[in-house]
Amino acid sequence: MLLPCLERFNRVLFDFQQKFPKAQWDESFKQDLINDFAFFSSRIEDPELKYGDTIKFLNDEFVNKEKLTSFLQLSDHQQVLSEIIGTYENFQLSEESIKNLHRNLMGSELSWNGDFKTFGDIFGKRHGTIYGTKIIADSCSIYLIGL
Amino acid sequence: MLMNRSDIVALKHLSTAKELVPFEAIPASFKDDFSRFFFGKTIVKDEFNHRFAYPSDIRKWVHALFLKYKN
Repeated sequence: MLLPCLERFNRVLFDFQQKFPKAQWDESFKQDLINDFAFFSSRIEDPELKYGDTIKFLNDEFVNKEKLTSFLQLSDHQQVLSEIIGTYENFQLSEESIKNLHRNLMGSELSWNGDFKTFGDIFGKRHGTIYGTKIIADSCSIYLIGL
Repeated sequence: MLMNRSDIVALKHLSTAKELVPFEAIPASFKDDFSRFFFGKTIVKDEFNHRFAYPSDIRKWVHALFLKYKN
């Protein structure tokens, strides 16, 4: 049983899939989408991540040897979105697909460096609404705000 | 002091090594760190003089790297 906000997400995704079929996407659009997604979702964990370094790294160019965990997360996010785009026509959120996404992102122990957060980052504000995740470590619940 | 995405993917792969790891599998960007960490540690050589590191040592080394280059 999906949360109402996730069901709403699936409905919006279905409309989006009908309106913007993947066949119309060109390579540069796909690349920009993957790079931007990887950057913004990794920046939730590391607010100091720089866009320029991110793009260089995702394009397999050389970057300074630092913040290995952040770069590993970037690489994993890029991989995950590439897989989602590969199955875009049929992709829907479900308990199983969410577990798979999480497994792909956090499957490596190296992604766990650092302490659990008792309260997550607020990472965006748009038109007066806060978009972000609030992570309550003791109940392991994730709330999506502003969806 | 530079690295690229392929190096990170290689480290992730090495972090779960279960077999002897050939020295050639170590990313060039991290060779110096590898040499420092493995100084004095036991390595294995085959009949062709190829060198290998024990998987448990490699897993510890990768974790040490992620701690060293944390921020």
